[in-house]
Amino acid sequence: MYTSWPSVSSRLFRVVALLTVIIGLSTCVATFDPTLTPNTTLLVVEGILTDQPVTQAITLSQSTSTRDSNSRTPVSKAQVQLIINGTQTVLLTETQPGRYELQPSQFSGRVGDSYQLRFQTANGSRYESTVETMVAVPAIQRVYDQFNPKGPGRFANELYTPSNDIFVDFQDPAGQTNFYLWRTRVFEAQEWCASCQQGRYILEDIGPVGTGPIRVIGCVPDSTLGVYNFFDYICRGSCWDIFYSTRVNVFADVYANGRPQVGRLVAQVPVYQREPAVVDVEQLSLTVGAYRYYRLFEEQTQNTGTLVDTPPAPTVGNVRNLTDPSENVVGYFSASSVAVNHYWLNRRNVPLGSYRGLFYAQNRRYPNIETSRGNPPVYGVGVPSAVCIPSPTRTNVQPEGWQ
Amino acid sequence: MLTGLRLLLIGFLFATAAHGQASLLTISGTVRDSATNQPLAGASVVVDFNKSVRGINTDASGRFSVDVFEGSHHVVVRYVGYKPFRIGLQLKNDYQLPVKLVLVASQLEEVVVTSKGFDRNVRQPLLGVSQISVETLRKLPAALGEVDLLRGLQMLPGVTSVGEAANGVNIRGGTTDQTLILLDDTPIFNPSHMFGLFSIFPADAVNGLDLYKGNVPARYGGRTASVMDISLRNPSLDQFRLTGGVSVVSNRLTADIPIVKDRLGIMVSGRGAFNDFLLPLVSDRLAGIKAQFGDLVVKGFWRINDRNTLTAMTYMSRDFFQTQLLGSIPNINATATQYDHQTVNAMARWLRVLSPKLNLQTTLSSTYYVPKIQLPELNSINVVTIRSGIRQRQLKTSLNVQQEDQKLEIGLNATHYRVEPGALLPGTSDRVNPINTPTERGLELAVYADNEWSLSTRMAVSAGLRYSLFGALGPGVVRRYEPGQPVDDFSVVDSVRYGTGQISQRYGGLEPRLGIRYELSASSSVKFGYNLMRQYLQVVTNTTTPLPTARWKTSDTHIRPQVSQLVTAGYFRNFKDNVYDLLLEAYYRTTRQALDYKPGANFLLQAYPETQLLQGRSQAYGLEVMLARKKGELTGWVNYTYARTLNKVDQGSTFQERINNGNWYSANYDRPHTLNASMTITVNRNNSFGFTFAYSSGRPYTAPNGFVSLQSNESPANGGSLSELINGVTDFGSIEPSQFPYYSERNQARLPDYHRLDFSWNITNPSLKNRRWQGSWVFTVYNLYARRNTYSAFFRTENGKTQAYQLQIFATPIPTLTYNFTFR
Repeated sequence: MYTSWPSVSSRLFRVVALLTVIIGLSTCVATFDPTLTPNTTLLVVEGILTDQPVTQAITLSQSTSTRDSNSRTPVSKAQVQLIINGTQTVLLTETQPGRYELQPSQFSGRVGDSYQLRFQTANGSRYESTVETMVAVPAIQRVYDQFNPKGPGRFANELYTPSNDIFVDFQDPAGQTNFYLWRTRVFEAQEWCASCQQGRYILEDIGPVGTGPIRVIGCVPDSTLGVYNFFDYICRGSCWDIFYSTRVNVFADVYANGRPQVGRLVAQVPVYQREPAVVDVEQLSLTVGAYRYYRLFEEQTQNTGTLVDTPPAPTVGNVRNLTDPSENVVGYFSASSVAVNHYWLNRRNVPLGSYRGLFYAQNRRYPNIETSRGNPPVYGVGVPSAVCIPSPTRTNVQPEGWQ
Repeated sequence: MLTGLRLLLIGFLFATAAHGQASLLTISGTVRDSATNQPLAGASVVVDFNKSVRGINTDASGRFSVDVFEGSHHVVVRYVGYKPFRIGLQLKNDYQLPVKLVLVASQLEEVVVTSKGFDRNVRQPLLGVSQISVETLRKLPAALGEVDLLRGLQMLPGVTSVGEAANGVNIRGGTTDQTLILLDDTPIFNPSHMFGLFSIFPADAVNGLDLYKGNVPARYGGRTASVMDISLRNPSLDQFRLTGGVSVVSNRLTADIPIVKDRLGIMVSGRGAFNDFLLPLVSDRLAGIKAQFGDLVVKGFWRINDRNTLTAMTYMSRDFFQTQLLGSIPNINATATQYDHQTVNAMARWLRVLSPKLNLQTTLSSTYYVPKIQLPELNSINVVTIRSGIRQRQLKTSLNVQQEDQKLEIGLNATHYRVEPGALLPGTSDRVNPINTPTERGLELAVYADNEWSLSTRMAVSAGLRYSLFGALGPGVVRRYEPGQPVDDFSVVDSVRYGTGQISQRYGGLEPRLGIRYELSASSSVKFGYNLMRQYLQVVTNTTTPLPTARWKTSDTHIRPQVSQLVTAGYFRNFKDNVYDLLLEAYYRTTRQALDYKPGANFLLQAYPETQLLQGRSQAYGLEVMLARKKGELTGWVNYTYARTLNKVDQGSTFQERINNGNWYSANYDRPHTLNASMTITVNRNNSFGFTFAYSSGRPYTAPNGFVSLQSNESPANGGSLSELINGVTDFGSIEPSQFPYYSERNQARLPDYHRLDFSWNITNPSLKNRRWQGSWVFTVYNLYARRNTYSAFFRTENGKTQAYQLQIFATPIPTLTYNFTFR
């Protein structure tokens, strides 16, 4: 009576499996066009002071959102002061609209010192941050990577892009609660230094060809070319594009005080090409207030799209308006000690195969080499190579750690 | 208190005895299932419906006894899911009436929602009791072929959820944990498998479901919104039977095994879903998902003798799943987040029949729910575990007195709660520290009396009173915070240590329950109800729907119990010989000390959750209209609900202590308009079709109030000598800022409306009725017209811009074929 059951079951199951169209619990993510009625004007304070010998900067801006537009305007002509240990006052200099800087000669951050930001805007409002103490950060013990064929997509509705996942190991100091923030910068070798739309790139030798100075004219329009005609020019020398991490990545040792930390994921570098790269990993210390701010920020700008999202809440920074305490100032002024590691990402673990290359990833097309300069050659003889123009996202100086 | 009880008891015994002097005849008998011969407990026996209300329910062994005068009488016996039995009797002597009710399924006639009481709509004094038969649910189109109680219930007015992946239902403005879910008298803390996709109740073993969303009898307590009382079937005592089913998701098997004929039997019902290996075939996106579950019920029934029966039940369930859709655990470095939860419920019930009209029922129950989060470590075989647990043990005893026009129940409940809020178990890892959050203990005692009686032929009253008392028990440390300051780690003034068994805080109070029915005519009535309920155990979570691992919290010095009051009023009418039912109900509910949380709250491994919580008020109101057709080839119902749920949290002046500036705001599950329709068409003896349609307003979500531009993570690059630049055209010195959403108000926007149509086709072969093996097929299509319903909306900053996205679940039609069988 019982014995006949299992065989019947398995046969039935096979029948059912064949008959059934399985679509399953397919969740999917689609873009959404909500009707929003934004109406905010918010002062944004940004700046992390560090103990690195570089220029320290605080930026002040105002973000205005209306139904029609979102804009950012720098807050210029403010008087910005840094109070060190409650006694010493340093004045910051506005170098660009809304950007207030301290040169390494003027200031160097030190672990244990406390800092407070005070400023007065041109319209007379006075603001003050909480006092932030720079806490020591342990050194990065090791940086390593793993190839991840299913790295995150660049968009929430994109499946995945292969990536090199970068991990760090460090020893958390015992006897104190530590808070961390990681920032990364990736230097990828760039072969293509200029692109001209409906034009040609011109570069003139002023002195002896090849060794003398040059004059870059740049893209010169050529109406004989199509409007959507692009010509791309290879770099004249070594050139690297810089990619900054855009994700907030914070950690607290609440569950791991004094423990060796292994395998903290700090970056997922998309694999656009198999060429090696340098990944600068910065490990920063945070105060508890800064940690809470970044954690909430992380939660509601990055960790969204799960089945159980936490309803977002206002992120309140540590700067307040002394004249009008009800104003919510966005951003957190903090001071961090930084440990740096320049990691050589050799990409030997990336499987062989055809990668579309960095250029494709940036421009969504393949480079198009200029072929003919016309007859007579009004734009000069031969196709020139382009100068690598340094910018915050590009450098011609070999990055530290490059092999 | 005991003395009082004893006095009451004696009083009632006396009253019963005094009643015996009238020269009455007795109609008595047993109500049984026609096919299995199982006695049907709780069937309603109504004598002379047209003349007066004379209704009683059968006892646990299906027996009943009614006293009547000599003459002609009309007896109607009803039970949900069965065809009513009617008989006219001409009585001169006591009469034995054996009743065999025929299951509706085998008659191909559907009884939709009716009650085991008197004719539900018109005669029962309780408002808002919905009883749903498993047969009705079986015919509703099911997602992926799984008969699902929670999804079926959402077709009734007043029952909603946050969406398709909701872990629980919201009833009349209550949060998911404000509904008490009982499975054979044992509480269920997590009602779903695979994170909200399937409910955990084994449909083959379920006998019926009572949902009390209006009047809640005083025998229930501990939650403030409603009670969902699910009873499991008793085993067959005379015939071996095997039933089962095969579908894409799970395979089921139930066996009824009589051990001693008519005396002792057990029922074993199991279900397992291990088909997750199929998921990657469906879509690459599902490749990272692992999902397996199983549940098992064993229930035994022993009729010791004519006066004593013993029922024992155990229910076990286990789930394992891994998906990136649930986010990760902050501050623990892991390669994945896996959820593993299991529950073991056990219950034993002794029924002693003291006299035909008096019985004593005593139940002992225990529930142990253990959710775990497993975090595999990188380059290691070790798995770090966060384990929590909740154990609830309960003793209930009640004395039931059945009078001719009165029914009284007096009882005592004692409940012990033991909550282990979480322990971090490193395993062999040296990377995390073992952490243990203090165990919470609480004891809840309650005494109650429930009485239903007919004051006149037109008026019936159900009145109940419950007194509950809760004590938070030591050992434990209770902090004291500076008054007037936000409750956080910085405002601690002092702390007090309590020893084992010491009460650190006591709460309690009366919980009156009242239902009044007034009959306007034989086919229409009006009802009024009032409830007050107290809740001492609650879920604390800040997610849209609680995770299986969400923290449960007993009331303590800082977290006061939630207290809810509900007022309801209704109008009911039957038409055309009971073919149609019309129901109109309005309610208003307020809750004090409703839980909310501070921005950025985190409850995981938090020893002092009061620092993360806020308490506020909640109000809900609504109007429900339902029209049902109960007989004929076409049966079904259509209902419309207008309902609102609003919360207000204003615990202090700082923005950490109030939400939306202390104004009323919509709850996550506030969906003003809901329209549900369900229809079953019986074409012939072999085929029937079902359609269900569901529409509701989109739920609220939090949309940005504005955007801010940040260079959030810029750090100066080393190098880049600008001196070589000849024709400086690049704007250097700053990186393009990225735009991020800025939120200031909660739940001020709404998702698009939700609607969906499902279809099912039931194929049976009645000619097989007398064969030992009977099979039937169910073909269902969920989401027939492929509506892409939005489950949630979210915002991401990508390439410097904020992009809005929506998450959709079941965005395509899902056809499924299920095979069910019975072998006897």
